[in-house]
Amino acid sequence: MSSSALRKLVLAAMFVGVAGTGIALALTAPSAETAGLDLDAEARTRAVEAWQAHLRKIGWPEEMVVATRPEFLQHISDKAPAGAGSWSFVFDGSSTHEQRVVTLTLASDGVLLGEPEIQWADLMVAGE
Amino acid sequence: MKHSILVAVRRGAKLFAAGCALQLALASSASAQLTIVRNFTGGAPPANLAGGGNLPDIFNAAADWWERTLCTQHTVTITFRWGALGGFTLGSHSLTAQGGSPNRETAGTITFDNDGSSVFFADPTPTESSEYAVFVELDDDLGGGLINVGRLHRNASGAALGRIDLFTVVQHEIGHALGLSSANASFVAEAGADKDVDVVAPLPAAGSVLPTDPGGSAHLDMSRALMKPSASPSFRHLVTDADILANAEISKFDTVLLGIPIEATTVVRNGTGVNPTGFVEVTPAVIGENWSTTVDLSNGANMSLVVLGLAGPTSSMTKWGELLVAFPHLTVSIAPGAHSAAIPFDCAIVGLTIPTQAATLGPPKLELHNALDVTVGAY
Repeated sequence: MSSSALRKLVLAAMFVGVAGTGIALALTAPSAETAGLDLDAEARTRAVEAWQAHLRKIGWPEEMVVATRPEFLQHISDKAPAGAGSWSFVFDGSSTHEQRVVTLTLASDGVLLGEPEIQWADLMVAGE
Repeated sequence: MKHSILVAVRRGAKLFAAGCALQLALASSASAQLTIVRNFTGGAPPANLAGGGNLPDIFNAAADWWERTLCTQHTVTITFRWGALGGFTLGSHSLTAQGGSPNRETAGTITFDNDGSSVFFADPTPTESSEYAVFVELDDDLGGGLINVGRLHRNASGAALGRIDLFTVVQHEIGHALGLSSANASFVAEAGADKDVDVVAPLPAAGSVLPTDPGGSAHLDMSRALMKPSASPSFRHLVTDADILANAEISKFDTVLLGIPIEATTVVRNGTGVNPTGFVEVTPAVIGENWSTTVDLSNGANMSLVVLGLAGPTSSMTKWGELLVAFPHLTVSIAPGAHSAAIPFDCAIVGLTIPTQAATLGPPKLELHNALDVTVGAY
């Protein structure tokens, strides 16, 4: 093994060791940043589920429900601590003439706290 | 014309004693109606509300208007209230239930802004529009022939000047509950991809393409339509034929009544004037309601006749007086004074004028009386 290859192997071992340490730390005491990154993805998944559940509730045909994944549910509009390590997320796809907002709260372990709130309305606004 | 005249025989005890009584009934092959169930849950009106009107009355007038345009059997329940909406938002509609075949909204909620940011004019007589000096109707050909695309009042005065017309906003929001709603699966199927509503037969103006908001909201992209996404101060917009057709196509209301709903009217006619007055009471002939009239028997007669003619009016002298309705195609109701006919809820007969003449029957003789030209109305 050349010295260069040996150096790469040592660096790789160090990297794995660092990552392993990180994982170990996350399992015992998660940092807000690490937990937030996990929760964002979980929130997006939950938002889509909540939206589809709402569609079923208001009577959409199942084939249309499963085909619906609104783009705005992939972008977190607002995120704020909600106490005890939980976070609230807002997905806002509203425009001037339509309100589409999903609000949900996740515990630090990704469990959904309460029912997601769906606001979906046709809006008429004042013009000139 | 889908209507036909039937003569129904009722042998009630009293009338049977007098012989035979005939009760007229207008029958229809398409008796169906849209029913908008109204559920007002309150909320305080905005402190700056002007005009003297109130939300429940205006809502009733707007719902009645829509019911007269979409003549198909369906019921939708709308819960409405005052509530804070903020910003420039005047009204908000949310679909809460839909279903059936074809799929239509069956329940929805509407909120009208009361936070003071919306300056409304609440008209105590919203169907009269007397606060607006000018009325304009606009037509356009959107591929299926000329259709009405604008129906608006302008040149406001008094409390209507500078304020948003609440009647316009209420009509608009109810319009969402009838098809044009972003949460309505039928709207998404019809306009979600191509951003328009394609009007097809059996609706009138088939071939028309009604553009919807390119931004995806459930509004018409037509600057004068009621279902455009905004309302301006000092203007009143009414339901246009484009609004009716859009909702009818989305929700598959197969029978529609375009134009401004026709009011039932009764015009007294008496030819040369030789006949005595016979009709002493008459109610408007409104679809879905009972039409009734009373013939004066003070000349000593013990029976009266009401003659309905689908042809006419006409005039010819007979030995019994002046005949004011045309033969043939006549139907006769015989009763001691009071006559009635059930008018079906059928938009196809709105606007139909029925020449009607009264007569009394001995003693001493048959005598012809005056006539009424009865026009069937939507209200």
